[in-house]
Amino acid sequence: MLNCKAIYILSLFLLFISCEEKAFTLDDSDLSLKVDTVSFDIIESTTYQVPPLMGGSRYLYLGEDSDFTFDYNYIRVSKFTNSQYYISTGKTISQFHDYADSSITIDSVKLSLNFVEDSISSNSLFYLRYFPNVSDSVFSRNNSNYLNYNSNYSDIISYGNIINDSTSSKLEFSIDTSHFKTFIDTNITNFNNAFAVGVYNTESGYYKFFSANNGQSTVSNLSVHFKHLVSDTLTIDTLVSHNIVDDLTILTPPALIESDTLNLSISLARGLKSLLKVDTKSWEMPKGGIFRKAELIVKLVLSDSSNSEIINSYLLTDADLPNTFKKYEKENFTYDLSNGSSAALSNNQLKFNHRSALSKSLTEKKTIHSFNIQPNIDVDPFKTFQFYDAKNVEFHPKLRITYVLP
Amino acid sequence: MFCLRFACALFLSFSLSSSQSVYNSYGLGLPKSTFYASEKGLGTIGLVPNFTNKVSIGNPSTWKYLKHSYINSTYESQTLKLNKSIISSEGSQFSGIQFLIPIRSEYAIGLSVKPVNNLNSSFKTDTVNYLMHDENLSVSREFKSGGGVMASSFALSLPINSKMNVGLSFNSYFGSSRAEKSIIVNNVYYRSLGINTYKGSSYDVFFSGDFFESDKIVLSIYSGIIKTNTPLSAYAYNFDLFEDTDGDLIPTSNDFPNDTNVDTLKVENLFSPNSFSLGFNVDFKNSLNTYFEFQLWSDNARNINSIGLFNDQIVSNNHLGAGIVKFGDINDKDWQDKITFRLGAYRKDYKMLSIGNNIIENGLSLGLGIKFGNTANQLDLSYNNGTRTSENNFSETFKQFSIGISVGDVWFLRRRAKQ
Repeated sequence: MLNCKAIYILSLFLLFISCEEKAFTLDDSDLSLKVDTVSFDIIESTTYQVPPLMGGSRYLYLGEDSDFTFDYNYIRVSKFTNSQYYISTGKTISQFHDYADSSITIDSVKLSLNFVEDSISSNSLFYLRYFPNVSDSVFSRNNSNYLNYNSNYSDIISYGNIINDSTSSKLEFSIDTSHFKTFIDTNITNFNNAFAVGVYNTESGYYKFFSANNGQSTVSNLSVHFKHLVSDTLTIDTLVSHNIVDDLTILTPPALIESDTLNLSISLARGLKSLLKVDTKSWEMPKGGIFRKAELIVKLVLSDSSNSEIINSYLLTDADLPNTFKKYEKENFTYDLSNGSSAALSNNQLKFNHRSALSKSLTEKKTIHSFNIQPNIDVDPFKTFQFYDAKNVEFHPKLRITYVLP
Repeated sequence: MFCLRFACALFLSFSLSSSQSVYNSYGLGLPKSTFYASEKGLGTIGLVPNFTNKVSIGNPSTWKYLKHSYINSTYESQTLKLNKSIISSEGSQFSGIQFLIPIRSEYAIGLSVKPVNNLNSSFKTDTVNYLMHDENLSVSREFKSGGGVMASSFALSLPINSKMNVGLSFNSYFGSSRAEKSIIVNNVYYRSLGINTYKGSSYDVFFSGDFFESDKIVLSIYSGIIKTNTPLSAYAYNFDLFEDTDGDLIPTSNDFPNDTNVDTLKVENLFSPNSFSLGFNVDFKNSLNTYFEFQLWSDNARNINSIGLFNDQIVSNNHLGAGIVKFGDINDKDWQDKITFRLGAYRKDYKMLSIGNNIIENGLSLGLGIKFGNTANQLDLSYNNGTRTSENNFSETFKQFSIGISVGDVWFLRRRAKQ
């Protein structure tokens, strides 16, 4: 039993002691994983101009302002109704062709465009045309501009009236049912359903409408008022609406001024874009490393307090860029749309993270990488952003890469 | 039942409060030499008796002395703390399960599954803040590894004569492990992952024999040899570094790059353990035993690439251990005589391949074994406390608590003849 007691006492003693060693200072300098950086100056840069494309804008414009001329708004109406209407023959009215039914008599057709502002008062004369002689596509948001827009339209078919209520204003055109027959003609399988809206006498500058791109709550529409003959004794007067599904402002930009070409300039409504070329020489991403950022950095010439202006940048597949300002009648460069980057103005500079584009370009063993910069469709279309070019000693653009090494 | 509850409460408190050695991040980590709570309580490598009188649960040559068949399993919890660090690392894991069947008090067979290496490691560096160009960067690094090599074993015990026995064991290695290295830059993780699957085999030969017996003592010798049959090989799947943009730990199309490259390698000759161990046990015939043992263990494989967090490995380990154990008897009247008490101390001298430093592990062990039930079920508890030090590397303190449960039954034992 003595042996057991000795074991208990020794056990308790050992429970409360622990081995302590001399403190050791941890040195992590040999551990893997590091962040490193490298910078390259932009070797060439210039501005170029193409006809402005307003496709995708949240607004439509008509009239004139600051030497901009907003020639036309092109509008495409959906052939499908916003809701189905059931008629007595068991059929439904769900698209234009369905109006060609013996039980339906069209009374009137109205096209409404919603102004952005309310309480509009104007002596301007708004007019409407359509495209009975164009079979399918009338305009393209990515290509149609003041140099190539489709002018194969009809004579004016209607003049607009401005209708104000307590909270909003809209421009309404009454369309004669004889013109609407082309839209519902079952022999034309793929009619364009497009209109062109223009204006005379723009004494108040320009008019701003909501585009279909602004969302469903402000979308303009075409309403079809008709009689539905249910039986010999019952006729229903009703209407069905068709939303605008695509639209585009055709504008003619003013002549350029000297500062537009002196710096790197970008402007949506002027069609100004800029090009930058960087040479990464023999630099390669170290084996196993990945880009954290590959920032194309450009700095504004004049400070701008706005922080929400979004600018886009794309890797170009073209290696040959012009040395000086150039004007093109159509886009002359091929973007790699899958390798774009967007940036918001911050502290008077833009930082585009082009790591995906640069990864691809370096993988293809390229040393010269070309980028363009251009305004996002959301920016103020009439604003021109000017940045320092490659010739500026202090604020020239650069490509700054930070990367992580295993 | 009170003992069981007490043991559970004690074990939970350790699990929640307390790790993973930094040395587990080198190659395949630290090799395990003890698996079951009864071994751990005595600080032995499982050669000499530790479970009941004359029986070591890790030495097949002693199994014929078991009076029942057993299923036993051990779960361990540990806390590790780098010296000078205020934060301790905690971890718990399964340590082994075994099914032992003595046959007619002459033979025995056993099946077991147990982890061979300990790859569990998790640590991170301090955050460093600095300005790179015009951007403030906060950078830290995290390293994690887990999983490891498991062994499924079939063992056989055979008698040589009335005093000597031999045990044979075949171990089939399997399992998988993962290693993850991350650098965190402004809270964005840049991760690299490695996943390995393992295959290999080894065999062990054990011997036990009583060489001297008097009225007061019995001197027994125990030895074991481990030989590699097929060196461990692995398929290593190494994912390139990626930015874990969506924070889901694995490379997906939402991350950068969205098509992370994976290198697949077959790594041969990754682990090839060989060892010789020898132990002496003195049984004082009053349930008190004392032992001394040593082991010379080496890994003949020299292929450390692509496995583990860091490219290094443990290449040898010399173990010295001594201790005393008083085996309890369930038929004794006094409660303390029913309990098995174990006390041991050991020293391990690990040698690493490229660092050139030895890691010295000193440890003290305490253990209890509590028998209950008609079939001599046994609850084993062990507590280990020790340090691992290296002259030019980390020093750490560890505390480990293990709980083992052995459930006995009567299979294949010689029955008494009917009167």
